[in-house]
Amino acid sequence: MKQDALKIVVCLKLIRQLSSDRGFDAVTRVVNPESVVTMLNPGDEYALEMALSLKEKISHAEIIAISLSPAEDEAVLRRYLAMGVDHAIRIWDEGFDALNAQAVAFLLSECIRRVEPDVIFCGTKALDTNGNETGGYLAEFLHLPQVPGVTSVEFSQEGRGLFCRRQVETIGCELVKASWPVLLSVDTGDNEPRYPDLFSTLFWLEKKIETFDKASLKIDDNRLNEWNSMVRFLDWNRPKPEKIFTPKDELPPEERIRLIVSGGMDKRKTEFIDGETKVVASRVVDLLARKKFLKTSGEG
Amino acid sequence: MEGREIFWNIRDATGMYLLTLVALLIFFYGLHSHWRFWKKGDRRLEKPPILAALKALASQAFFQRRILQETYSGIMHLFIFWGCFVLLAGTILLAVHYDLLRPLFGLALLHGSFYLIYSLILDLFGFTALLGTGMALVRRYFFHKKQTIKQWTDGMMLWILLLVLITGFSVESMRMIATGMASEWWSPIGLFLAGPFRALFGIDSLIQAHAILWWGHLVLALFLIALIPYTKLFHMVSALFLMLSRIPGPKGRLEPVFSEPLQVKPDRLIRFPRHYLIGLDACTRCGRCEEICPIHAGREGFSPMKMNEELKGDLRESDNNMSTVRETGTIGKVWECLTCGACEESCPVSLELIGKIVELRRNRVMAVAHFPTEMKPIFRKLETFRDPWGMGTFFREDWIIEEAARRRLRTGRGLLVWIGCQSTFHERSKRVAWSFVNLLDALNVEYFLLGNEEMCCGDLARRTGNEYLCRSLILKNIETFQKYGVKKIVTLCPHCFHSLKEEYTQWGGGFEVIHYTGLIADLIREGKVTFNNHLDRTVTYHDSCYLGRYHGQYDDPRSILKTIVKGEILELEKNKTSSLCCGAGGGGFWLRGNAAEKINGPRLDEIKEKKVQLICTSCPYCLVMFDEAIRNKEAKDVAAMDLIELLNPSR
Repeated sequence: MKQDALKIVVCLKLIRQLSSDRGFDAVTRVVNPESVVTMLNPGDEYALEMALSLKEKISHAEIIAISLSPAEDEAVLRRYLAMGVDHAIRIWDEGFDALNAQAVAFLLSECIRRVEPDVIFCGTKALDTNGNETGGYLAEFLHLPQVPGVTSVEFSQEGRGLFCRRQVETIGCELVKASWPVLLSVDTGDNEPRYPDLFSTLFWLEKKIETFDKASLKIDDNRLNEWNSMVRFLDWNRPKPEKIFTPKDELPPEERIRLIVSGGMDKRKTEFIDGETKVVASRVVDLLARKKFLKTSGEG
Repeated sequence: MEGREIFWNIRDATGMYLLTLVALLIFFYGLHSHWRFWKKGDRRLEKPPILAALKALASQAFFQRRILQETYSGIMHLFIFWGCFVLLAGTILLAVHYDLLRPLFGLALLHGSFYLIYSLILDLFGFTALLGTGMALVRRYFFHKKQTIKQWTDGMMLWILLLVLITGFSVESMRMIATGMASEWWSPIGLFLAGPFRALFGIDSLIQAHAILWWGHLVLALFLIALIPYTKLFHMVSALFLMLSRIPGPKGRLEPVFSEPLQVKPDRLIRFPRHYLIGLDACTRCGRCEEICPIHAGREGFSPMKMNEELKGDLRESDNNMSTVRETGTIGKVWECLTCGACEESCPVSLELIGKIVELRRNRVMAVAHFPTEMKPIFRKLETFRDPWGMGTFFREDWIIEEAARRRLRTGRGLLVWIGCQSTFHERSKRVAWSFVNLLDALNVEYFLLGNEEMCCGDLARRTGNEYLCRSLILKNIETFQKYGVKKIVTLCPHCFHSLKEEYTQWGGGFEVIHYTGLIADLIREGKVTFNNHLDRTVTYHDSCYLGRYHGQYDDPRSILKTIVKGEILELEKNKTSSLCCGAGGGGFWLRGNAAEKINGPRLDEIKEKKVQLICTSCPYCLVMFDEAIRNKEAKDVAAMDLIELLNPSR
């Protein structure tokens, strides 16, 4: 086991989310800046939480957060850094908002190489692009093994190793042993992200975030463009809207609402069940029994 | 010559001075240990206004306003207090007379007709004390109410007090017999006891018994005084300090955490402020808070009194460190509190209980970052979307369906209508907002709405202990208010009302804030609006905690109700100051499953028993809670509506 601190890198992606599905300006049809909310990708938050809980298990560990985000998002970033990150690095330069996953992974790898971490945490996939690529590319660039879909992690007894649990679709849990340096893509497990305390929040309000751009990272523009052009974004389609049932105008309002809610299938009576959890459960059972989906115990 | 020989029959009184000295030493040692504990807390940031404090002291201590809220125990306490107070004053006067005036100036104060009146007053007040002590003992042993904490010392002190009084009167009576009953009718109790004593004792044995009883009386009285700091009787000292450190204002006052520009003392969230520590010592474990607490009622839930007691023990042990306070027991249940203020309303020593609860929550949220997981997404939503529903600011204009109201968006003219998150997003409460806006349009009142520039007022974050989040919301709101030059705000939600009115002042938000019931009641009073009595139903009004108990607005909503209801207006059993919380306050709406569901059900049962057809509220939270209770219990014959919905001119 290395004597100096265990270095853990967490890659954070800030995503922009529409705070409503109609966040468009009525006239210009452009997304209204007010209805855009910047937040940390939930998957990355789980990765950060896992790194933090790993740090708590040993005495000497340092968490370094790396994020590819513009300066105006720093305020949002700080809120998440306050969860317990020791050191933060932000990478940004012109044109970075139009990078594909490969180019992002390339930039991250260039930065991470300077840190020489032992363990790297990534989220599985981002809420906005739904790509699930960056972790894999990053492992490739850094020539590291990758364990995808980790749900919990623990130190192995003899050191220099991690026991990772991963959720395998429908089959169950898989236990993997990985010795560091290693890259873990974290899936949402039972590690619920913590809430930053006040003192940490205030500390991170002041603390400087180290920033890198193309020049300070010594990025070769050609190589970046090469990676960025390998997979390219061409077009984007919204799903075609289905034909929506519209009731006739002359119907009374209640009737129209009922028809809209039932989607025009007025023959199939919709029933609205609401209330306390227990009450809802019993009413659902009643309903199912009434519709002959369930046999009550009395009938055998 | 009227008067008496002070140490008649007592040959050597130096023992008395020695015993008094010992008793006072024990007393002051106890006081000192409390004082040391209090000093561990920080001083209050704002200086309490001394005049208001003295006024409060007079009404609470001498007139015992709070204690008289309950008749039997109120009168009992009044008797004991005034009896003992006058007896103590009389004894001090006697000491001044004997040890100061007489040897130094040769004056005889207790002399002549003054002595006779003195003797009569002391006898009468001694009797009231005796009566009060008797009442207390009867209550304690025959019909004491059920409460979570009982201590054997509480009963013991009563017995000692009874003995002190009985021995005192006996000594007086025996002296009167032996000295020939000089001024008999001026000591009625002594005279009354003289008969039986004369029958029982011969004159020699009487004089002997007198000496023994005299010493007994002295020792017991001094014992009582020495024990004050170690028993519940200490409330006479600590409540005094508490009263003097009080800041008058609405209930549920919270101590500021930050000073601007953003600064926080390093141990502000770890240490309890000083006046809260004094408050811990001032609790007499009377159990009134517990009796009225909606969470405690009937179940072994949260109890403000028990929390106070556990907190006292834990903080003493840990040197006033909140972070190490136990998380089990009643303290662990602070998240169940609905901040309804019923406990503060009923507390005879005016303890600041909500302040303590929120202080603990602040410690859990901001210093330890360990709190119920249900709160995490709520805080997250408040942070990113600026409302607890997590809908986002863009949705905030969706409730506005009338074109007339849409034209009022962000005009900046007239009075600002503050809708609040609940009425903005909750499907049921939205109708309240419609009705109000329609009414204002019908009345031609100049108003405007903030629409998507409105945010959560910060009440939820503040009561759940996230002061930092609350501050960021308040600052943004104040910025918006200043942008539109807002002067007067009318709110739909009593929670927003309290927050905007009382809590924005810390960050420089001096606006005139009213609740809509106040606005409409004013309009009715000025004759600008009339409603016909057309609602022919049995109606009751449910007081919202933040409008009623916090701001004492009980009459405005009722006066509005009177103008529209033709049928009967019933008062619920628990109304006005003792109104029961609906279960949604203080984060209760968002921490479901903790307590809320246990409360709105019983409240509805109470209403159903009265055969009420319509429950009226003036709070969007209460409305939703009643709606849910009605749906859960499938109560078809009762409906819940907001007051404003009944006023809708289109109805």
